[in-house]
Amino acid sequence: MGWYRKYLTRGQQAVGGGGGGGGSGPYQQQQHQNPTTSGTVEGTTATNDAVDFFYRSHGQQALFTPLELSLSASKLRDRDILSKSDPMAVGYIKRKDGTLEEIGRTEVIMNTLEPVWIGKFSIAYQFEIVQPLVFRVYDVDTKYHNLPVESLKLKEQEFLGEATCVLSQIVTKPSKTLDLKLQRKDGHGAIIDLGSLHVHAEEEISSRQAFEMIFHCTQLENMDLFSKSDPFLRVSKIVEGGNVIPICKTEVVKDNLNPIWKPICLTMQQFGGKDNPLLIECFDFESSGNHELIGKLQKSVADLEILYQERVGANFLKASSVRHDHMKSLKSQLFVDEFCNKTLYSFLDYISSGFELNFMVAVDFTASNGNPRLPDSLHYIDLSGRLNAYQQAIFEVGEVIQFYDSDKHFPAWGFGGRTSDGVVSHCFNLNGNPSESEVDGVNGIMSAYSNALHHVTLAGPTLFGQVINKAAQIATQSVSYNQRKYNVLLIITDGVLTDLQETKNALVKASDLPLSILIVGVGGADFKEMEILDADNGKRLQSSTGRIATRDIVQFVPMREVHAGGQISIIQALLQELPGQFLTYMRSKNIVPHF
Amino acid sequence: MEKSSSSSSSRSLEVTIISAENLRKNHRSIKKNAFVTLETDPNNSQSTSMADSIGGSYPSWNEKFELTLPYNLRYIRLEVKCKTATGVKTIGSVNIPISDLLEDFIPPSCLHHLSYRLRERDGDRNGIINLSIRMKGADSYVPRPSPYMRVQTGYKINSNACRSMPMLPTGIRQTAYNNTGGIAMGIPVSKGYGLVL
Repeated sequence: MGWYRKYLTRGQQAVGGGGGGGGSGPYQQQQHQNPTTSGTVEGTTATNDAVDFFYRSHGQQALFTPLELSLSASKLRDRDILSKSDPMAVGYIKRKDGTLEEIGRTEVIMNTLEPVWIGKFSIAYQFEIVQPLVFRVYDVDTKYHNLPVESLKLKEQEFLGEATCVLSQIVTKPSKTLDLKLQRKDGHGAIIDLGSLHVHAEEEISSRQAFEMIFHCTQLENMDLFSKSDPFLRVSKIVEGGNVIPICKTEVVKDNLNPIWKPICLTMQQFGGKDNPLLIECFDFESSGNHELIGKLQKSVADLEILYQERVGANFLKASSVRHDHMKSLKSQLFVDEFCNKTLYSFLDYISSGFELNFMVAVDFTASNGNPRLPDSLHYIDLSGRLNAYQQAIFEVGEVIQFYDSDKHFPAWGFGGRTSDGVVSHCFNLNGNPSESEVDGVNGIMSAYSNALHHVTLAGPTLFGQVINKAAQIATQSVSYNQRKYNVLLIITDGVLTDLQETKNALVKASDLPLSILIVGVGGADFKEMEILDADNGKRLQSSTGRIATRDIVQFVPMREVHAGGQISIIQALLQELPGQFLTYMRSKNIVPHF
Repeated sequence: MEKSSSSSSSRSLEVTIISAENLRKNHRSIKKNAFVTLETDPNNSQSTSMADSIGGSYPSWNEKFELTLPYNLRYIRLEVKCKTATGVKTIGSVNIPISDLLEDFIPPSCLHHLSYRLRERDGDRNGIINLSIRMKGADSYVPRPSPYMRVQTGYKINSNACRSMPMLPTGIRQTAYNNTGGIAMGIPVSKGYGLVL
C-alpha cells in the first residue's frame, strides 16, 4: 500500500534516520554512518522543527499496549454428580475470517462454581482495530487433572459456556472489568444462560515506564573546516543479529563541540528492558543528508543511569583510520546530566478514568462525486449491500471509536450540498433535522447518510472551514465545562480543497482544543492539499495572522490505496495516531487521569 | 505600565511568556541572554528576565504579565531580543492580533495556548514564541449550556496548567560540566509535569 509506505517514510524522515546496516555487530558498520535526513533549504532549522514537532505530535505513544486479562466466573452449572465442577477457561482472538486463535488457558480450579483463575492471558491492545475475543469455560474431567492444561483435548471436556466481547469494551469500563453472560445454544438454537464470566484487563506496569535523560558531550571532534561541528545524537535499539533500529534522535545543536541537548524520553517499550544494549551515535549534521559520524558507544539504560549516579562520562569510539577493524577510544565523552524514572499515564489510564472520545462525521456532497443514481458515482448505494467508499470509511472508523463514547450520539454533517431550502450549505445536519445534528450510533450515521442522498442535491465547492469550526465549537464545550471528552471529526471528501487558507486558520485555532481531525480522501483526485494539512512533514500549519498550530491534529489517508486482502487497513493507519494526539493534548494541558 | 484612567474602555489580559524555539541570530543559534518585551503601545512596554545559557536557543521564561488593553487596540507586539557584547539585538518579532485572543474558540476567560512564528526585520522566518493568555476581570465569560454536550464532572488539572509544552523546566540550574569549557545548551528536565516520579 503506497500510502502506508509513504507514511512510514515520512515518519523516518521526521525522526532523522533509517536503520543501521546489518552485520554481526554494531561496531562493524561503516565508519561514516549516514542517517538519511532530507536536506532542505533551511537545513538544521527545518530538521530541528521536524524533530521537535514529531515527538510532540506522537506523544511518545507506542503502537500497542500490552495487557493482561484476568478471569473469574460465577453461577456456573454444576456438571459433576458427587462434587462441583472443575472449571478451566480458554481465551481466543476471533480473526476476520471468523476462525479462532487460542491465546491461552487458565489453570483448572477444582470443585467450585465460582472460580477465580490465577492464570492470565496476555494480549496486545491496539486502539485502531476491533479486537473480538471469545472465552470458553470447560469442566475438566477428573482423570485429566494431572495433565498440563495445554495438552488437554477440549472436545473431551464438558462445555460450560461461551462469552464474547471486544477488547475495547473491557478497557473502557471504569474498573476495566466487564461482566459477560456465559451462554450456549441448545439443539433447537435457543440460547441458554449458563452463568457469568468476569474479565478484568490490566496494563503491564512496564508499559508505563519511561526514562527521561539529558545528554551532554565534551570535546567532540570537529568535523567542519571553517566552523565547529553541528552535533546530534541518535539512539538505536540493537536487536538480534546485530541490526539497529533507531528509537530516538536529539535536535541539532549548531556550531558547538560541547553540546547539551534537550531532554529525551525513552519508554520501556522502545528499548525492551533496562539491560538491553543501546547504540548511541553522535553525528555532525550535514544539510545534504550525509551526516558524518563523530563517534559512537554502546550502553544500556542501566549503564546510563550509572553514569548519571557516578557523574562520570563514557568515551566515544570510532573506527581507527589505520585499522578499520579496530575501535579507537576518543577524547570525546558522553555525560548523563539528568536521569528520571517516570510513569507515563497511558491512553487507557485516561479512558478507564472516564475520558471518552466523541465521534463526529462530515461527508462531502459536492457534485464532483457524480450522480448518486449512477454506478460510477462515489455516492452510489449498491443494492447488493456492498459499501461505497464513504460508507466504508464511516463504518471502519465508527466501529472502532464507538466503544469510547458511552451515549453513542454522534453529530453528523454534510457539506457542499444544496439542501431542501435550495441553498448550498457547507455544514448541514445529515439527519435533515435543522436543530439537531446527532444520530444514534454508527448505524444512525449510515442511515442518515443514505437518506440524505435522496434529499440533498450535490453542489459545491469543497470547503472544510465551516465543519471544522462546528466541530471546534463542540470541542470548546469540553474545555468550558471541564468535560472528560476528546473529540474526533472524520471528514470524508473526494475533492480538491478550495478554502485552503481558511481551513488552515480553522485548524490552527482548533489545535488548542481537545479535537483531532481524520480526513479520508475518496476517488482519484489530487490530494496534495490534504497532505499539507496533515503536517506529517514537520511543517507546522500557520494561520494568516502568523499563529502556529500548537500541535498536529490532522491525519489524512487516501482511501483509494486500499487493496483487497491487505493485511493492514488504511483506516487502521489513520486511527493509530489518535491515542498519541489525545495524549499530546492531555500532557500539554497538564491534565491527569482522576482515579 | 500606567493603568488607563477609564476601566470601562479597557480590558485586562494575563499573558504568560512561556518559551521560545530555535532562536537564531545571523543564522546561528543564540546561546543566552534572550528576553521578550511586550508592548501594547510604544509607551507601555514590559520585559521578561534574561534567560541564561541553560536553554540556549530554546529559552524558557514562564513569566506572567498583566496588560490593560484599550478597546481600540488592534494587536500586542512581542519582540524577542538578545543582549550581546555589542548591545541588545532584536531576534524577531510578532504582532499578535487582539482578534486572535478574543475570537478564538476557547472562551476568553479560559486559558489559551498560542504559538507564533517570529519574523526578522526583513520578514525572514526565525523561531517560534509560545505563550498563554487569559482574559481577566469584567470580560470573564460564563458559557451557556450547549445542546451538543451533556455536562459532566470535571477532571483533575495539575497546578501548573498554564504550561503548553511538554518538558518545560521549572527552574534555572547549572550543569556540573559547565566548567569544562564551551557553552552549555539544552533544557533541563521539568519536575512535576503531569508525570508521576
